[in-house]
Parts: sequence; C-alpha cells; structure tokens
Amino acid sequence: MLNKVLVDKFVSIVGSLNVLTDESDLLLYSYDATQLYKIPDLVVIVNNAEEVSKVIKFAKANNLNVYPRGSGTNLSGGSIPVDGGVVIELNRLNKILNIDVENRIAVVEPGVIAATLDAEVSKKGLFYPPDPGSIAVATIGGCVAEGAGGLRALKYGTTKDYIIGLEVVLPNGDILRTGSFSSLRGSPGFDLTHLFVGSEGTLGIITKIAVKLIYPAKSRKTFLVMYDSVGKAGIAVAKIIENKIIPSTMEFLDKITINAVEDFTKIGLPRDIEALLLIEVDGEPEDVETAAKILEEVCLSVGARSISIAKNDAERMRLMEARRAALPVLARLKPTTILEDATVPRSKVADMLERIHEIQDKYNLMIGSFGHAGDGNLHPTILVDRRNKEEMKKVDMAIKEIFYYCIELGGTLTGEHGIGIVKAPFMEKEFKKEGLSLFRDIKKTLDPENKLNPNKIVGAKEVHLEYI
Amino acid sequence: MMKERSERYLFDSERIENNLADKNLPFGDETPYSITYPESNKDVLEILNWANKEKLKVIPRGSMSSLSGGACALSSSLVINFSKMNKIIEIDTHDLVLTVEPGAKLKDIYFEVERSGLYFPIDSFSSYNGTAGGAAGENYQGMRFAKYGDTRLNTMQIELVNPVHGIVTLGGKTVKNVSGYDAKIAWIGSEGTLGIFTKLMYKLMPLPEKRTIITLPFDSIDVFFDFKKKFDSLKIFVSALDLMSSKVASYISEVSSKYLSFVLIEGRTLEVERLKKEILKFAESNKAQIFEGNDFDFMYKKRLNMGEKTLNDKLFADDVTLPIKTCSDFLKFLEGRRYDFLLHVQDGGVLVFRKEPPGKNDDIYEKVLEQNGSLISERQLGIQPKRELFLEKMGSVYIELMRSLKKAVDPNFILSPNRYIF
Amino acid sequence: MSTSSENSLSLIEEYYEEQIIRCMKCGMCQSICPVYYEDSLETGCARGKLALSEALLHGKLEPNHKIEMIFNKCLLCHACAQVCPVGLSPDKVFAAARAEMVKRYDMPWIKSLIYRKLLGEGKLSSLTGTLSLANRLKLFVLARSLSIPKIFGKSAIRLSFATLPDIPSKPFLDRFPELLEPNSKPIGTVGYFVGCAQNSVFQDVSEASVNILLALGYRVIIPKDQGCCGFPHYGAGDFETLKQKIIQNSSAFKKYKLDAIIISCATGGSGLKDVYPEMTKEDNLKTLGANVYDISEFLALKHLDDLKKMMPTDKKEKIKITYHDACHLNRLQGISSQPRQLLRIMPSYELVEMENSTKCCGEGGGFTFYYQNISSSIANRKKETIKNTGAKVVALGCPGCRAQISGALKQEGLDIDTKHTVCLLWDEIKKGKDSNF
Repeated sequence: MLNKVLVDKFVSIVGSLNVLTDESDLLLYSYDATQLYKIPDLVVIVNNAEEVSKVIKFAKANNLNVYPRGSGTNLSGGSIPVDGGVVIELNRLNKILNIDVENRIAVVEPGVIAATLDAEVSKKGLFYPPDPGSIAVATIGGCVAEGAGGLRALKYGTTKDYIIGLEVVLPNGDILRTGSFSSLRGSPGFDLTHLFVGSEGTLGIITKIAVKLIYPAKSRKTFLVMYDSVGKAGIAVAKIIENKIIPSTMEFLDKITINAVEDFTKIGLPRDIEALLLIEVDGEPEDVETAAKILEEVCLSVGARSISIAKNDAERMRLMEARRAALPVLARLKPTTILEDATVPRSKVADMLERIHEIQDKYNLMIGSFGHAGDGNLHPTILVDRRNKEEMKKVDMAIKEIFYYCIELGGTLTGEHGIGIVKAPFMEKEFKKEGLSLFRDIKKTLDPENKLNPNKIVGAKEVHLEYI
Repeated sequence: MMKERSERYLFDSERIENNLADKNLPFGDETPYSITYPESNKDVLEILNWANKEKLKVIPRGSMSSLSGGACALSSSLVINFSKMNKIIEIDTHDLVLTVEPGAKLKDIYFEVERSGLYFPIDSFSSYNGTAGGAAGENYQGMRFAKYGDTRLNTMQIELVNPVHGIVTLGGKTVKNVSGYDAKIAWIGSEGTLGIFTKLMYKLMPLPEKRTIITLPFDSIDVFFDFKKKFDSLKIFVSALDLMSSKVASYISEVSSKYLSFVLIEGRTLEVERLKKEILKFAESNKAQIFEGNDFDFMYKKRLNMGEKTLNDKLFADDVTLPIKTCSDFLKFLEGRRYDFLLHVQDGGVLVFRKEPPGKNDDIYEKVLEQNGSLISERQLGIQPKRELFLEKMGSVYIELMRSLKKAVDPNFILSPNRYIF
Repeated sequence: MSTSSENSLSLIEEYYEEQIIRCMKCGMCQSICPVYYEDSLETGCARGKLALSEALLHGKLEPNHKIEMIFNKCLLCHACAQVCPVGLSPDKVFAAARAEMVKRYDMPWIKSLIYRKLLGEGKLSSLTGTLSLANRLKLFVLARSLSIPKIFGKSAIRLSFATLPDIPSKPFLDRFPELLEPNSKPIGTVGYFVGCAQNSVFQDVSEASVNILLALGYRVIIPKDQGCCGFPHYGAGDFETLKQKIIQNSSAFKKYKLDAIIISCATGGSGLKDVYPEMTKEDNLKTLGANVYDISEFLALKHLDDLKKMMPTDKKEKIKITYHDACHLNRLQGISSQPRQLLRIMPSYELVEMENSTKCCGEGGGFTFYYQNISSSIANRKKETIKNTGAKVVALGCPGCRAQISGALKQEGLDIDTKHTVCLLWDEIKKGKDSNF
C-alpha cells in the first residue's frame, strides 16, 4: 500500500478514476497469462505519453518501481509487478493515429489491439503479417515489447521486421523518438528502435509505434498432411525448403495433441499418426500454383499417410480448425495448462520433439507438442494440476531439461513469448557471462536505478512467484 | 611493447601508405599510426584490449567501399583491416543461413550462395566491392530493400567484440528469437562505434526460378509517376524498381530519353512472365529492353557495378530517403538544381549525384528534412558533413542516451572515433 | 430434486473450485466481452472476476461491497464462455458469486422489493392495472418531460423512452383461461409459460403467441399458478427465491400432460432450459414435465410450411427489417436461424442483417442500473448498427432487449420500431386472414 500523499500526487496527474488502490483492483493487475502473480502497490491508468512521463518521473523520485502493462496476456511474466510498485496501464492509448496507404506506414498507440490493427489495415488493402496466438487480445505495444511472432514468421518475419519507429518514455521520464515515422528506409546509426523492440518494458515505455505495411498475398493453398513418424515429418519440412518453397505457414501437431483435437472436434483425424502438418503457401497465383504442385509431390514422396487440400475458403477453415483447436483442446485435459516456447533451428525440430517425448516419459507428465515447424518454434504444452505440488516440482525439472537441450541444439530460450521472469534463470546458459554482462550494462545504462520493470530478462535477484 | 607486436602490426609508413585506400575516394585517409590484420576473433580481442589500455583509437576496415567514409583512418588511430578474416564459414542450405567472417567479399558471397541455389539480396549502390562486415557496420540498404529488407532485417547472428565485454555472440540460426535484447539488430549500422564484428550470420532465401531486367525510357517525371500508379495497382513488390536520370543511366545502357527506369523482376517463371507483360503494357513504350538469360547476367553485373563507375568519374552518390508520396516533387526539385539521381521507387530511397559530399547546410538536406525524410538511404553517416545535421535534428535526449551506451561498451571512446554522432 | 441450502452451497463450491482452477488467464475473454470493450479494465472481463472468485474462495480477500459490485459488472451475456479455450462458463461462476454475496449481505431494500416482492411473489402482476392506466394517461411521457427519470440516472432516462404497447388493465394470466381449445381437433397440447414481462407490460407478445398456437391447432394450457421463471433471481444472486420459483413452476406445469412448453421470452427460455437443470441436476422433462421451446424455435422447427400458408398474399412494398440476437436466445439456447426463418416468410418485410447482430444490447438485468455509463455506451453501439441498416423495424425476442433498444432508438428520436418476432408474425397472420376473405 502506498501512503495517501503519494497516491494523491498520482491522482493529480491522471485523475482519481484512473488510480486504483482497492485490494480487489490490485489483485486483478497482479497477474498475466503465466498465471503467476504478485500484488502491486498501485495501478495508474494513463491516457497519453505526457502522463506516462510524469508518472515515471514521480515514481522515480519516490523510489517506486514501475511496471508497464497492455492487456497482460504475455506468457513470460513480463507484466507481473514482481517487486512492489506501480503498474502503469497503457491500454487506454488505443487509437490508430494514421494509416498512410501510399507510404505504407501506420502510426498507432500502444494500446491498440493487434487484431484491430490487422483488420483496419486490411480494409485499406494492406497487410500486417505478425499474428501471435493472442492477436485478438494482445496490444500492439505488448507485441512490440515482447517481439511477438505468430504462424507466418518463416515467410513474413515477426513484429521486429515491421517496426520502423517508436516514441518511448525512458526510465528517467525523457521522451525519445527513434527511427522514422514517415520514411521506410534510412534510420541512421545504432538502431535504437530495435533495442526497444523486444525489450519487454525494461528499457522504456512505448507510447507510439510506426509500423511498416506490405501488400497481402493474392492467393493461397492450404494442405493438411499426416505422417506416421515425427522423423518423416521433419524430412518433409526439409525437402520442402530444399525445393525452394517458403510456405507462409508450416504448423505441426504431435500425437497427444491430435488425439485431443479428435476427442473434441471429431473431424476424423486418425488417432495413430505421429505427426500432422498444416501447410499453407501464399503469394501471386502462379507462385502458389507451382509451389502447391511441388509441395504435394514432396509430401507424398516422403511417405505421407494422407494429404488433404482445401478447395475453397470454407474447407480451408476446416483444415485450420485442427490447428486452432490445439491449445483449447489440450487445455481441457487437465486443470492447469503451462504453455512453453522452446525454439530450435528448423533442422533440429525432429530431434527436439524426440527429446520432449523422452522427457515426458521420464517425468510421467502429459505434454502435448504443437507449434511452428517451419520456423522451429515449438510449444510443448504441459498439462497438470497445480494443486499437486509433487507434480509441479517435476514440471520445473522437465522445463529445465527442455531448455537445456534446446540451447544444446543451437536454439534459443524463447521464440516469441519473451524471457520475462520465467526464463531469466536460464539466460546465462544461453548467453554466457559476456552476453549477460552486455545485457546488464545495456539495462544499467538506460535504467541505472533499476526501477522500470525490474527483475525481468536480466533479473538481479531470483524471483519465486505463486500461481494465482 | 610495440616491438613485441611488430610482426602483427605495420609501422613502416611506406608500407602503411601502400595499404591505404584509393586516393580517388572523396574522403582521404590520414596516415594512421598502424595497420593490423587479425586472423581470428581472439586476435581482435587482443588488439582491442591493448588499444584500450593505450587509449589508442581503432578503426575497423573492410574494403573501404562505403562512401560514408566510415573506414577512413585518422592520424593517431590503429586501422584493423579484416582482409585476412575473409572466409565464408558455412552456407547452411537447410536452415538457410550464411555464416561469414567480416572480411568476406560480397562478390564472393553472391557467387558462392547462388552456386548453392540460394540468394543473398543485400547490396549497396557504392559497395559492390564491399564486405560482409561493411554490410553490417553500414547497414547496407540496396536496390532490393522494398522486397527483401536491409542488412538489419536479414541478420541472424552477430559476434561482437568490445573492450568491456569481450567476445559476445547474439542471435542464432532460429528464425524466431526474442531472448534478451535484440541487440543483434541494434548493432547493425553502428559503424563500429559500439563494437567490432568478428563473425556474421545472414539469412538466405531460395534463388528465384526466373530473373529478368527490363529498362524503360521515360521523358517526363509525371509520365513516369503515372506509370508508377498503374504499377501500384498490381500490389506487389518487384525486386527492384529504379528511376534514373539519363547521365546515371548511361552507365548501364545507351540512353536517348531523359530518364530510364530499371526493373528487376524475380520469381516463378509464370509469375515473372505475367508481371513482365503487365509492366510493358503500363509503360506503353516500344523502346523497352528486356534482359534475360545471359543478357540478364551481363546487365545485372553492370547495375551492381554502377557505384564504382560513377565514383571513378568523380560523381559522389549522396543518399537520402523521402516519404514515397513526396518523391515526385523531390525529383523535380533535383532537376531544378540539375542534380542527377537514382530513385528506388518502391521505398523512397534516392541517390543524388554531386561533385562532392554536400555541406550540412545544403538545400537538399533542408528539403529532405522538411518532407520528414531521412538523411541516409544506402549506408551510414560516417564522416559526411550531414552527420552534424543529424546530430542537431536528434536532440539532447538521443545524444545523451547514445553517449551513455557508448560509455558502457567503450569507456575510453576508442572505437571508430569522429564518425556518426561521436 | 432437492432444494435445501446444502445444495446452494455445493453448487457454489463446485463452480468456484473446478472452473476457477482451470482458468489459464489467457485473456481471450477480453476479446469478446462487451463490458471490457467499454473501459478496458480487468474488472470488466471474465478472467479478472475469476481471479477474484478464487481469492475469495481461498481467503486471500475478504468479501466487501466493492467486490460485490465487481461481480455485478457482468451482463451474463455468455460471450466469454463461447471463446474460452478451456470451455469455462464464467458467467455461471459470477451468478454463484452473487449468491454468495446475497448470503452474506442480503439484498438492499430496493432489490428485495423488486426481486422478492414484485417478481418473486408475483406482485408485479397486480401493478398491471396501475401501469396500464399510467400508460394510457401518458404519465410516462409526462415524467420524461419533467425530467424525473434523470434522478435515477442515464439508464432510467433511456428506459423511460421505451415504447410500451397498449397495456391491458389486467395481467395476462387473469385475462385468459387456463385451458384454451383450438377451433378444430387439437393436433397436440402445449403449455404456455407466460413470464413476468409478458404477463404485465408486454402482453402483446403473450397474446400473439397463444393466438398463433391456437391458429395452428394446438390446445393451449396456461397454468394459472405459474410464476416468474426465476432467471432474474439467478442473475441477482437470490438463489433462495429461485428455488421457490422452480418448485412453484414445476408443480404448476407437471400436473398436465404436455407435448411441449412454449415460452416467448429469451431470458425465461434460458432460465428454464439452462438454469433449472443446473440447480436441480435434472432436465426439463423431469422438472417441468415437458421439453421447453422458445416460440420462434418451435414455430420454425415444426410449422414453417403451415405458417407460410397463413401469410397475406396481396403484394405490398416490403418494409426493411433487421434482427437483433438476444444473448439468451443466441448463445444460451443456440437459436438464431429460427427467428430469421420466420421473418423471411413474412411478405411485408425484407430482412437486412445488421453488423454485430449478436452483440449484447447492454441491458443485462440489474447491470443497466449498476453500470449506467457502460450500459448506455453499449446501447448506443447497438443503436448505431441498427441505424446503419436503414431498417424501419428491429425484430427481437427478449423483453429486456426490447426495453433497452426501443429506449435507445426513441431517445434519439429515430423512426424505428422495436417488435417481438412473434407479434410481427401474428400481425401478418391477421392480415392473411383478412386478405383470404
């Protein structure tokens, strides 16, 4: 709890309706999608960059930590106020300021929901490709801060590839513009824009975003391919790339996931297949025609059990349903769902999956794996009951083993969820002392007093949080 | 101490002179204190540690192809020449990445990569002779920027050395990576001022099935932009779409019109055929020229060589960017000043050909800033006079932040001094 | 079926524990919650309230009036349940949470008056005469011009504009006999569940419904001892009165052998079909003696062709009509094509779809008074989408929506009528009878 004098000052900056002190409110801003939580001292809802600056300055002057928040739907603990302090809620900055069709640039406030941006630019005939699973609820500011990915990364890249300029409030309250808001190229020198993208709210609070837009694909073809072994699926993926095809989507479901999907949707998936690939090629009509033919040949040549091709949009939706249902059906198997984010080079996907299967047998845990086979970003989904403390201990050990192997294969701790708190303990394993030291110094340079979203990414101290 | 190192470092001033840049470049070298040729990242680390102790400034150098002057030597500096670290370490055809040492020549990279059936679409107008390290330090943004991006967006991993943290590797072969700070991108374009690259990993893509160049003559800027409007209706990016004034165009073709448009179309055969037809239809010209097969190779090389040729003729290609919708007016403005130009139509990058690097108060820059454009488009600021304008424009918050970052990685300010904003 | 208080507790416990523990905090509920859309506060969305529920259950927080108000910050529109990846029904948890609050704090006098006296004891029916007189004397119009509703807030102002049909001086159940025989040999026997609104203020709906059923040849039984379905009590957390209503209605209907029970109220329908089984752990067949149908569902399913034959044949210019999907018809009962089928056979109308027809109108029972600004904002959005269709009439199947939407439309002075689907159908049938003479 903060004393009244401090609270009143915040009230004078944003108005009393925008300062939340009640314990029931504070509880609701203590968690994110990791289901971990820590109750903050105060929640301040801001309406523009000036207010952000004032709030940060005042917090700093009074030695209070500040935690920026969008929708609070990230999967790494980035929004959790781990060490007491003030949560700054940014989702009221939710205007799309401009969509310039000729320059192909959109300027948005951080609280705009990613799906809304997607829909609005589509209306103007343009395309914003990054489509994280939480696109319907995540804010674009959150996507930028976490470096959100999605299903189209192999062909189209991720959020970082579409940000050309930012307005950021630094930890000392200064407002900085990086990159450009009006020209697509240029942006001299050290690329500050990309230092803040993916910085998970630890280096600055983003208050405006300039987004680069491209043209949507004119045509696409969707395939559902089934394999009797993960190895075969892996070979198929490799051969597709070898044949110069870069699909816009290459999604994978493992046996546990396939069976769960079949249990709930009853769309007729065989229960004994080991791997299911959902592949989509898009682009100009000729490209799609040619690529689709080659793709079909390649998939069959590797020994697919079956291959379905969508003849129209309705069929495409049906095929996509299998992939979209993956998380919801897995989540219904047990009371607690822990969604992880192990990312390896594409050539190592089959190895990683094999190891995940070994780990789930070793610890006797239910783990359904699905994910982006095309870019190596897998989501081993652990299904447990968090009330079972013994099982939760095994979960921690299993996750550790997964990440260690991931790094061993030349992969990385997170492909799209961010480091936050949950992966911070593994940072040294991946980056070694030198890398970690560089990150710490970057953080120290921007935030010498460690007041902005502390203990995330390069956490100074170990953080143990409970499930809400 | 210097004697111990004499095998590694050149101190003989005649040998130094012989190893410096071509005096044709607009920015000449001062004679540096020494030149050294590291052969591994450990060498570079050792060099930096020593230079840091001695507070000796260091300047990394590839092939001096960049017109930013970023690799120009200062008199009391140590030039770190990467010509011995020039290997292509790996071309991974499954994970589609290229790993190289910074001194690897882009020409060699293009050749080897294409031989493996893959494509590395990064270039810079003046840097056909450039190196992979140069591409990173200068963030090359070439004619294919609109479709393929710049070096930043094509970098998968960097290995970086600085006097404080030693050798740091950031990024990797994974397509997606948000672990830690995305420093691997941030450092691209920093001109060696915040760290020196000792290894780079770039993204590759499949080599397009068919590649075609079309050149189209135009006699009026307005007519060209009418053509552009029709082209825009196709809603596609071609690999390159440039408009050049006739003097510039003469380096690749005989030109009888006032302007020449250079179109590079790459993709599936049928797709390229269709786009060719559409573009020719839109251009409404019977003087269009199409280059395919061997003709393509010939013209493609000519296009990439333009930078060197124009420089030999003492034309300085100054690079700026304009917002796309202001390009037409900007070109007319350039015409008014009788400046030759090359415009990257799909993204607004412009090369303005001058007799020498313009001063910071040049009205070109005034115009660019007035239109909310950028002071660069292909390379970095280096030691060009416009860098002071950039400093003024950016303001104190930016400068303070950059200085603090520099201090964190280079406390004695030895890395690449007197360029960019330092 | 047991009705002891143990059942009430076990229900809450069951909902709290299993539903809450499964919430992944993914936030998908935010994408569809009409309340969250208005103020983007975590208290608005389901996962926030689920977190609160868990905190109460495990003693992390002590209940208080602020928390009580947060549980009231829900329209019970069920949209969150539709997008929840885990398949939770958060709205049910919140109803149970409200019941907890009522258990602890009981209800303020005004709520008690409304839920226990007016609706629970059926005293609303006795007010019918008064309301009828007031309506005929245009007292509501007078009150509006004197700005009296202003005292009660935005929602009261809006609702004061709601168009009321002619209100008979007696409640429906007093005006109609318990047993109604059709003109020909009955094709079956159906029970009619009147519902509070249709018994007092919106008798046009119950009249139309019963008349259509008779015209189709059904023997219609309207048990006089029926009462409020109990859904308002469910929504207000008054589980005690709800249980009394279940007993009352069960005994009223079970004594007859019915082929079906028909109801013309969306909220009532979902109350009977959804809430009763939750509470009693048995289906409608067991509790009420027959399966329950919404009138539009019943008519479209079984009598579409018959009704087509009853339509007027003279060609007139078609009036544009649009349809609003009440949450309790669409989401809770899965009924959305049936009313549209009925609208499409009506020759006088041409159906145009509005954008977001399934979005809640913002009434939500008590919600409209607890959260006046949000309710008004949501109502305005609905009003705009209706306006944009160019329709002259908006058809719907819920009295709450009817009051909210007609209020919003008339407050802006728009020349758009709000009518129950079945009233439109009966009007067409009457026209058909005339044109067939």
